Amino acid sequence: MLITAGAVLLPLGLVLYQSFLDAPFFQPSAKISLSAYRFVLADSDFRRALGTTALVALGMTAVAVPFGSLMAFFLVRTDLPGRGWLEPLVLVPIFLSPVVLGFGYVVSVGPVGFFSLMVKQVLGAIPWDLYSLKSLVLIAGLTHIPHVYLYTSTALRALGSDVEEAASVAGAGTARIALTVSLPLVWPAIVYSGVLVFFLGFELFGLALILGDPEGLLVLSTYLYKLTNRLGVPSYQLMAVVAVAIVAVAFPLVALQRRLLRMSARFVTVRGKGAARRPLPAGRWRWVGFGLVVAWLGVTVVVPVSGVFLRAVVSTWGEGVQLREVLTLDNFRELAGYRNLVRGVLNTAGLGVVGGALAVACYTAVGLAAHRWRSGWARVLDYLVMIPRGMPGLVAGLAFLWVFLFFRPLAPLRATVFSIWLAYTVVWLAYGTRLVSSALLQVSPELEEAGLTVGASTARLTRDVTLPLIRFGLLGSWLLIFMIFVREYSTGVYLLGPGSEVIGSLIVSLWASGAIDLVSALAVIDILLVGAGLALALRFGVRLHEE
Amino acid sequence: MSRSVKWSVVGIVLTLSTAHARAADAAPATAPDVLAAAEKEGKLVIYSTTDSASAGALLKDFAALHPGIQVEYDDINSTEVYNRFVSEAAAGAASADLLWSSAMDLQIKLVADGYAQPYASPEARALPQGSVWKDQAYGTTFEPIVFVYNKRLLKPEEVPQSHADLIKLLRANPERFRGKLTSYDPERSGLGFLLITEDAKHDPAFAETEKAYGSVAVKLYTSTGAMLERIASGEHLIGFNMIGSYAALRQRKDPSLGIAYPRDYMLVMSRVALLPKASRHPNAAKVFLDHLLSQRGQQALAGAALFAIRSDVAGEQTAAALNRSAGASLKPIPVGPPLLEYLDQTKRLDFLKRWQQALGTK
Amino acid sequence: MKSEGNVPARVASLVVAGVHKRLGPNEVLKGVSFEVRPGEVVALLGPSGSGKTTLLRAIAGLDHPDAGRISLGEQVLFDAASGARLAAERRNLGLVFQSYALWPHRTVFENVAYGLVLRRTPAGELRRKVEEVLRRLGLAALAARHPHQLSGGQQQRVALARAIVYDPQLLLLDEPLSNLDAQLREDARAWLRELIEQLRTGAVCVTHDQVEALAIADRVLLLDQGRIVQAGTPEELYAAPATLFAAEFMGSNDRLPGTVREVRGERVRLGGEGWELWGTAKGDLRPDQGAVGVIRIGRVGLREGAGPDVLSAELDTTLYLGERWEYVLHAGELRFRVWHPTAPAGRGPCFAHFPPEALWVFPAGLL
Repeated sequence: MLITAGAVLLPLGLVLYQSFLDAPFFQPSAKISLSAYRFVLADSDFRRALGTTALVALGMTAVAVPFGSLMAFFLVRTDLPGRGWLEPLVLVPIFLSPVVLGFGYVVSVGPVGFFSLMVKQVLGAIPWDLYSLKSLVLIAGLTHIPHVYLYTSTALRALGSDVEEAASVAGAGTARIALTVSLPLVWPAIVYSGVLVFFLGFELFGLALILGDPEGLLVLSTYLYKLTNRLGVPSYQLMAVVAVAIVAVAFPLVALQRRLLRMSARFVTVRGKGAARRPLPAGRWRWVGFGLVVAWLGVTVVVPVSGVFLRAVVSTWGEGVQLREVLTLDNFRELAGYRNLVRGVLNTAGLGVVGGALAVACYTAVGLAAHRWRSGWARVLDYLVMIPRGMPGLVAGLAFLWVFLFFRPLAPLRATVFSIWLAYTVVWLAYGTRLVSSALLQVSPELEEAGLTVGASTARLTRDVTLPLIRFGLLGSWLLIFMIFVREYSTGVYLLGPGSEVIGSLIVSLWASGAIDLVSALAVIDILLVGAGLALALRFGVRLHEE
Repeated sequence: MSRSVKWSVVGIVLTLSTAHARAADAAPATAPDVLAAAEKEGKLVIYSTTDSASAGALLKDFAALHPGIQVEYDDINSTEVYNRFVSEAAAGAASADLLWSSAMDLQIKLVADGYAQPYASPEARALPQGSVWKDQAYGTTFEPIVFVYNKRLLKPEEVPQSHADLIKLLRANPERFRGKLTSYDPERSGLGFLLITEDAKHDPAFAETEKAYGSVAVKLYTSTGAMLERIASGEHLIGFNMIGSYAALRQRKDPSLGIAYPRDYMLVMSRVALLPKASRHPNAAKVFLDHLLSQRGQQALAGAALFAIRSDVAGEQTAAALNRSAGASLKPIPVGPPLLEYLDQTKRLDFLKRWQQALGTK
Repeated sequence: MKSEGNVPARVASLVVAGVHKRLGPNEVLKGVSFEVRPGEVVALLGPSGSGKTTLLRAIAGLDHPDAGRISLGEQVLFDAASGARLAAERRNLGLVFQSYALWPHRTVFENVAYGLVLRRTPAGELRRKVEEVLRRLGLAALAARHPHQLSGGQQQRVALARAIVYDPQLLLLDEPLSNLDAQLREDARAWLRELIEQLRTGAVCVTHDQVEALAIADRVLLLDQGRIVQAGTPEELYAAPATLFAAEFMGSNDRLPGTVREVRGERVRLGGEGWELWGTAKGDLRPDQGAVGVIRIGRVGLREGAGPDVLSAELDTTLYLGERWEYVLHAGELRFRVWHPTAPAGRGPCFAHFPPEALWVFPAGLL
């Protein structure tokens, strides 16, 4: 508990402190002042960015939550055709770097995208504008559906069929059951994921950069770029103010979340009376549901990924280019010459698999603590886990560098993988913990009490009873964290060094030098690797569901 | 054996092709006691904005000459170089021994703030005037600032040969170029800002230029790659204030890109290297700097399209070649205190306000 | 016949003294004290909200009271005064949950064996004990099944097996029969009683069903709103209730609200609109005082005609209960029921006899 608090408050405290200074905190001349706040709050760009960001976040959530939970219902609780192979595909957008994803969209459906040009030939004009606010909100929402899906599906898996069958017998069709029984029962998962998605909207960077720049759409994270260069020298105090503003949004969010989940005892569904799980017939919604999922996959996965794949195999593209003439494998050949690549891939995989597992272990400890100590501590914890994600990548990277530089006990660990792992783990605390928490909410306290009366110590109980009962939550959490760690970059940017580079840093480095073709090639490799890893894992028992 | 050396196939090819010339090259003229001390130090940490691929040939050559010095090459962006270095210096923690960044103004600021140690490199004699400041900041490249355009979609007569040309073009066909002009965003890109301020100095009709940009709704970005991509694909037609080295490198692979060197005046930027005072391996850093400025080091840079600054380097992407073709119209940005002018907050914000007004965005 | 038999030396008395417990703004237990002697089966009987489950959980150690003392023999389980609190997992009690709380991811065998695993019982002995308990409860064939594959009755027995396999000092049962269907319930209460007798440990059984309490327990503690309102043998509670609440809670009753017309020593004349009867006074009664008469339905008989202690009543309807008929009658304003072996002859008036010694009259407002 204290460790969590320390790990979270240390970087955040530094940022907060910095926001009240007029110079970098490590400069002796720095004085306490509100000048940073005055500057930022008076900046019309800030207000504009704040407004846009709020709209995007809201829109994203409005898109992601209903569709994500419905999709979870269809794929987990009904006998939708093809759900075996559809499920893993749903998670693909999570492990795609948003910058790459954004560019994939540009290549396929941008103003001179290959798909757009095809449509233009048929219709005479392109009926959509990729760079509009609407498109940004839509794409952001669609690409965040997997987050809602992961939470909701994990919770839905733990439901016994009895409640649904009761409704079925009473005369409710599948759609009605979904809306009035199953989904309301996993309300905590939906709330958690909705709040998280909204919060992620505030932190949205990659997509906003690629899709927002052309029309000058400014969100808070791209506004930070402005701040960095506005005054010439990076001014940490201004950046800190923005970070504080975003973190401040977390508080009402968490309060809202707590309010929505007040009566969480209602959601206990894993009781001592075991109930079998039987899928509901999808009935006439079969093909509608199937179509919905496939359509979503098409827009959210096929479109951008095909863009990325295409970019990787051509030397140039766009208006006036005949695709046949420019196909080449040179990009891959060039990439193969990079010695760092293999090391980068291994580092990333290691960080994702091992680091992810360790992170989940931490999240589980935190989740269990919150679950058992339903007191003031639990409330504090609710807020604590949320706020690290409030720091945009740019600021988070700095904050963690400073923690490892200036906090004496941690200083020797700066150059090790541990520092990167810690930074990632803290920043994604909200994610992992929430998955574990919502799984825990579904376990009846009586099951644990039964263990106590039979003589199990708390440790024993956790090991033999609690953890096995939430194993799907744990697995889901591990999978998600793995994918997030794999594509993470900015949080650890100042802690990375040669020898510890990861795919994310390779992509950024290539991107900065303008080698989009190599970036695409690398992204293709990345996608194939993670996809293969995912398929392997699912095959060999890391099952997302039990059979 | 040096670590973290990324290979570029192109780099290898060019290295091999000039190998016969280099075989006859002398080693850099570093003082022998410095060399000895460097070998003893055995290690070197560099923070650089030059990506590992482009620096590959240089690093390989250095490793061949000094196998006993292990080079740790951290390739990060200019803001990250600055942030990381300054934070580490403040904490007294281990940091870089050499900073090599294309953010000229930030490098000069570091020198002005006293972070750099002076070192009179013997190789500096061969560098042009105005590229070294106080023996603390060294300009290492001579990169032209050019126009980049889409060869497929732009008619040959539309290719701008000068800044004045560009403005005429925009004024004559505003609808054709609406949303098709691109450059760095001075508000979000330090380098972009620097180039615009230099434009203001050298362009007699700068006020008009600004307005012309606004009239076609110029698209502003922070990333070179994003811009080059969009020009190559045809989403945009012309980019101005583009960095010649990146464009040249890209042009080697992508037939869609064309480069036009402005004839009325051509800005030239330089990547600045400095040696931090609190370096843990000062002598190794000195040896590297000498190598970077030596003929063979500069040759390696030229091979990676980084435009060598020394006059005695052969090849197209060199200062010598530029001087021959452009001569008096070259306006190199001087490595020195003038770069600090716009780090003054008020001045900077004023300039930006005028820029935004001219563009019609405020 | 309820016997006590020979109890082994290890089993001790449970002593609960002055237990208070507050849940939020409500005081759920307002000072409860009782004792469970070795081998005794005690029922905690009461309506919902009476605090009986809270009390059981306090004994189990799942919740801690705010005040009072709980001890099992020499061992102090809880003492508010000295701050002593023994964790639930160290109390060595057996608890059967109302919802059974079987672990869904374990087989029946594993569920039952867990307690022995925790006590580091050697493998051979563990297997023997578990199999014996399973056999005893008729679960031997189901050892490899998972809870969701069992019926409600089977799950209940597994929960019981799990609680007794490690020979606990005391058995705690939370509404053990309430989740069973009516048919099973009658069989279950018989073998439950038998099992507990055989085990010779004490048992505390929480229930809201007075039939269950009467059938299983050696002693019944009737709780209402956090207090024990009457304690005694089942017979005492049934035949000699101390309060109106106790009287009404037990058995199937006719309730006669009215006014005291006359008092004659122990006898009192109770009447309402259109009826009057003699009954036995329970408590201080004065004429013109509001009072409630309670009589077990089984004590009301039908006569051929009018007589002393007989009410003439109209028949509203009859219900067939299998073994007897229930007549729903009214006399004046009073509605009441009578059981009779045969159906009514016609729709004419019935004559119901209320034996005065069986009609308890309590002051109204005294619960």
